[in-house]
Amino acid sequence: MQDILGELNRVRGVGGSLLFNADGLLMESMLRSDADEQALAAAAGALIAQTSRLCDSLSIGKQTAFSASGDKGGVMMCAAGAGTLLLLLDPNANLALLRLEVKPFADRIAQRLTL
Amino acid sequence: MESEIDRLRKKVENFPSPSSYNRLAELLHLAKQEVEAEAVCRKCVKEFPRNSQVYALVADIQLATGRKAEAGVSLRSALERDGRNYAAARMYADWLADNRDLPGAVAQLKQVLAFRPADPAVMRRISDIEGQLRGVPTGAMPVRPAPSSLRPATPPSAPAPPGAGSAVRSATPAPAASGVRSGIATPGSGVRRSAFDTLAAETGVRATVVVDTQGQVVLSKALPTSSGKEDTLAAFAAAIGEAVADLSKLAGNPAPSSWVLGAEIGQVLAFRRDNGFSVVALADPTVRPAMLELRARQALIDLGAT
Repeated sequence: MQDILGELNRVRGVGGSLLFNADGLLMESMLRSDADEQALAAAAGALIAQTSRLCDSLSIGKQTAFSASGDKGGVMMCAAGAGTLLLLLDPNANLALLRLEVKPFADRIAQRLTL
Repeated sequence: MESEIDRLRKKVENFPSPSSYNRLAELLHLAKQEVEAEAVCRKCVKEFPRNSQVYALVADIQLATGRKAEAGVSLRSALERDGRNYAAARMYADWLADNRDLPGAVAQLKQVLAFRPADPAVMRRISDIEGQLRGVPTGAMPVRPAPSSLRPATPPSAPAPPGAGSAVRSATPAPAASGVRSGIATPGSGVRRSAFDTLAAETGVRATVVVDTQGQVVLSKALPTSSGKEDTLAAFAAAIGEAVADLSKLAGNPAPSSWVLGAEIGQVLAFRRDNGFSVVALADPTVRPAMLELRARQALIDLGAT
């Protein structure tokens, strides 16, 4: 799994990647900064729980992606099989391009998780 | 007139625009060429679906050709696209009055007064209809000023503030329900809402709310299909905003200014600025977030953000 995250981190705009499960527990990570991986996974899990509830309340189907951006960077999350992939984004990240580029990595992770 | 029609025909072929379509349809309608006028309107609707005026024109043609029920639908479509369409609002009020919904007609006309304060024709019409409600013959009632709650802050001669129309709640359900929650003081609420209204009128946008940091709705506007979801949207948006801020803090970044949640049959977009308010929109999955962000930023500036 580290090899996939390593490749993912080489994509322009990605500043680190982390895989966590539905309970917010860390599955794998490769971060460039010295951020607390466990805490990041837990916070991302809490966020996913909120967004899932919002999707249910609004009846807009299952959530497919989440991204947040600001002047100093952002985060992007997408489903990767049984896990969820969290990407830390650089300020200059191209969100539209990243969405396209991250999809094959998420598919590979999903495939790896089912093996 | 014929040459002007020909000129406009060429113009809509080479450089189509809502105004040229509208003008061409108007001239054809005036020349009693109703079938062709309606065909021009249909083409305009296809090319410029957000054009409110063309629906009013279609309604006018439908009324002229005796299709009253269809005209009502067209007028509602016009007002859904632009609640401040004066011609459509007045025609719809007349349509309601013709259909014996006199209170609805008065409520509709009072909405017009919100963006056309003290409009003499509207006030006269309100008096007439109120007279009918009391059993007084049409035209016998003196013109009275608007009720104090609707009376404009600006002098009658001053232009209406942009966006003020949506600050007034109608007694009858409006095509797109909108409202300013009372008791929450916001800089500019009910005064400058044009950017917020523009955001709400974007194609594919089902509901928009302005939310404070505690998840309370400050302003809202929703299509009938999404009406009632504003509070849910606001409460969750505030909670998600906090969760995103926590996550970003752990990653060493300040709280992001926007987030987008994509789902199978919809998406939720939230934009925040330094004044603590967020603009949150529920939209179709096909809506482009970048376009909404521009509108949301302007709405936030209207609300006092820098």
